[in-house]
Amino acid sequence: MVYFSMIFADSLFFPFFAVVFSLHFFLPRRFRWIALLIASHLFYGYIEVGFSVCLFVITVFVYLAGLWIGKSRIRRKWVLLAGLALPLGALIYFKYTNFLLAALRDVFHPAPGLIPPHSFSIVMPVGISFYVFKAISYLLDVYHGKMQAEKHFGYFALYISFFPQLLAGPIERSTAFLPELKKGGSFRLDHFSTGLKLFIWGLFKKLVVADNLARFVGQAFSETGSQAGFNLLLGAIFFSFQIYCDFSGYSDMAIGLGRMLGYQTHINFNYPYFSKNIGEFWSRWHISLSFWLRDYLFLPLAYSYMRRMEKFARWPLKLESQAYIWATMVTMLLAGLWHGANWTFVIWGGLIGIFLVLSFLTKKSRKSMVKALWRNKAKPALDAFRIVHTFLMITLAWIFFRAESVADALTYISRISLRMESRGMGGIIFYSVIVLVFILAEKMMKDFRPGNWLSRIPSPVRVAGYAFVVCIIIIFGADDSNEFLYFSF
Amino acid sequence: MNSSTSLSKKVVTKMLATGLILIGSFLLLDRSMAFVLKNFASQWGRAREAREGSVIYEDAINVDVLIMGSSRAYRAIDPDALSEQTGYSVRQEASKDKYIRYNYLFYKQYREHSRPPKIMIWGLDYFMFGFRSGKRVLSRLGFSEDAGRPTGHAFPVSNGSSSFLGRVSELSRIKKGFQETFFDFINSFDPGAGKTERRIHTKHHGHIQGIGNPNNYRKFRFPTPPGHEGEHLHAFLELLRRDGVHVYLVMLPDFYGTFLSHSSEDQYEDEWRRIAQKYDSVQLINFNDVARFDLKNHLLFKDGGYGRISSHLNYHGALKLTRQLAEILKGG
Repeated sequence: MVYFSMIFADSLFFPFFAVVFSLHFFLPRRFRWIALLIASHLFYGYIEVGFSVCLFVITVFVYLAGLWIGKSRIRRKWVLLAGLALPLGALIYFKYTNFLLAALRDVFHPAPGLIPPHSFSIVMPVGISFYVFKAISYLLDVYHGKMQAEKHFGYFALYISFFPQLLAGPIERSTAFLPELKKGGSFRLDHFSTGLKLFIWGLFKKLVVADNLARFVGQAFSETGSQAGFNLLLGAIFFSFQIYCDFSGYSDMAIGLGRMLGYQTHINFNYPYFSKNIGEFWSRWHISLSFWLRDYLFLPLAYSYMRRMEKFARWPLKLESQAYIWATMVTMLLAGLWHGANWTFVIWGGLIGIFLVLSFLTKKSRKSMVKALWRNKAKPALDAFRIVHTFLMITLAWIFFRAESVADALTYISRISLRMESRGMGGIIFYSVIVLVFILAEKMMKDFRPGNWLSRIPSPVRVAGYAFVVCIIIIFGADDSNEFLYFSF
Repeated sequence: MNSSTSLSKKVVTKMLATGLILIGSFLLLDRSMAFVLKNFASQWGRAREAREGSVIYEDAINVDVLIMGSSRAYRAIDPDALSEQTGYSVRQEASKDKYIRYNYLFYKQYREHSRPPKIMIWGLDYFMFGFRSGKRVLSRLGFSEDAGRPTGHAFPVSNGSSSFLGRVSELSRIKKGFQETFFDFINSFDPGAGKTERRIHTKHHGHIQGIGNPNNYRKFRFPTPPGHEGEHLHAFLELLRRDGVHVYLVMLPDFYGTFLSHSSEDQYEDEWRRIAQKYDSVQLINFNDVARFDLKNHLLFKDGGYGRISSHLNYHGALKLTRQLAEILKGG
């Protein structure tokens, strides 16, 4: 559903940000939160006023719940559960009602009278998954005593609704970001310049790479039957880059805007496609979500398993390994479901979970095999093999993520082959060049170190380089820009 | 800025210098890239005109049979086979994005350079009233899509001056036109072209197997005339009548799954029959009929399936249809 018109890539956003930026630095530090909070609600309300109301209600509720948890000395668990009820309930209602009803209808044939025979028309507030996760982490951190409940409503409301992060994260933790907001954001040239560069790079990723690849990918996935097998293979590979550039492009822009305003946030993607194994990939992809899941789901699940299943410690697998498998699978299945109410996402999560478990279980044997087979051979070749291998596994999982249904995904996979046709070769070459240029640029950025050849490029040349990137964005940026994929999550 | 963000003189100088370099290099690169790209585009445009445009008036005039329609007609009727079987000279004018308006405008230009054909075969699409002729094919005739007047621009410059970016960036102004030309360029790049279309056709058969679920497909309903370009329909048929052209309106076959996915086949045929009855020179032939064409044989189709809007014949299918059509043409 496209119902907004002030996203980062939109021309309307630039004057909006210019006004917010000027106002923010014009005001004394202690009042800057007011400008940002109003701007955030204007930004969100511009999409749909109801969304802003929903956000405000959840903010007030979580703020009060946080204070209550902070004060209560008895039955804190119940207070916590009461506090989680509204944000979690809202998420489940907006995102999963129809999915759950459909699942119930599938289970009960014929469906009993309690289950409505049709789906409801529910408009999900864009970005709800992200700010609800922020709210949950805040309540859990207060409950576990990692931080004091925030007494200043303004700062708390801004933490939940900070407009650069509102629609698609990153899911910043309150422990780190609330103190940052309280500093009021100071203007520093190096921060501004880093933020601007990040924003331009994010724009390039979104408009030039993701939106152009979307044309090829869309055709591959919607016209699977009439595509050559090789085009389908490329469609899957290009989708891996599309989703990465789409989502990390948004994150870069969000982080860049924050930096320009003087607020530091953590990176959300750390060159994930250069990972040498699936575990490394998961720790580099959507870092704010994977760390959220690790801290609030995976670790509690693993510890509780080890506490409860101590008697099974003598199974063929060590208790720690059993706990890892259990917690990984549950976490990844839920991570899949978080992305969307469709079985394709659940399978995507399940596949990543299985890959993680297999990687964990075969770690030692793989190490010894590599030692035996690869002795005295070039390490870069081994690294390249591992990177490509990891990438292909991820790409397989992305097919489920992109397909409309599980049956479509299976059909897509079954039709992949190396059979090529000359028709459409121009498009294939063009999109491949985009991907290769992007990989090269990412590699250069990844290898950037103070003192290496890149850092020795004179500053005016680098500035001109950014002007060149802007020109490329203008001329090659897709005209029919798609909405950011992760907005729907 | 308030006092808390006071900036030193050195920082301000650095900011100004950086800003000036950024703006200066942007303007320089913007203008020079726009210049290069405009040249590329106009050269490509000229090459395309030479390759495709001139053919209309020089190589293929005074033919007996003119085939018109969209990509479905292009795939469905083989001009060489038709010529072989009927002895007529045949020109294939059907191709992607050519709907009623293009056909009408093309024919008006064609008759200025050539005697009218004896026969026109017009491949019909059930979706043709819902589509507009493509900008690219119209501009090849010298028409813009919006105004319906000759543009005189091989490489359109969009009116981007209303936006801030359009005012400062030459690239932004040429973006729309450049992208159309560029994608036209890359889409037309086909290393296999010229090795005969037959090879490409042949490799496509059987693609429709297993596509879509027969029990769970979506039914499509399409606009009826006049739709987007239907206002040209009667003017076109009237012009053909005046020129003494016998017109065969050919309802092209669809793969069975695709056929079932349309909810208004009968109504669609009735519409066309009513139109055909108004002119003595117009005859409707329905090949989208299980009794007349083997719609269930996937080996005759390039694509299509349950829940699919459109399907095209492959080379085998085209030969079969052309043979049947040739019989009708010979029978008068």
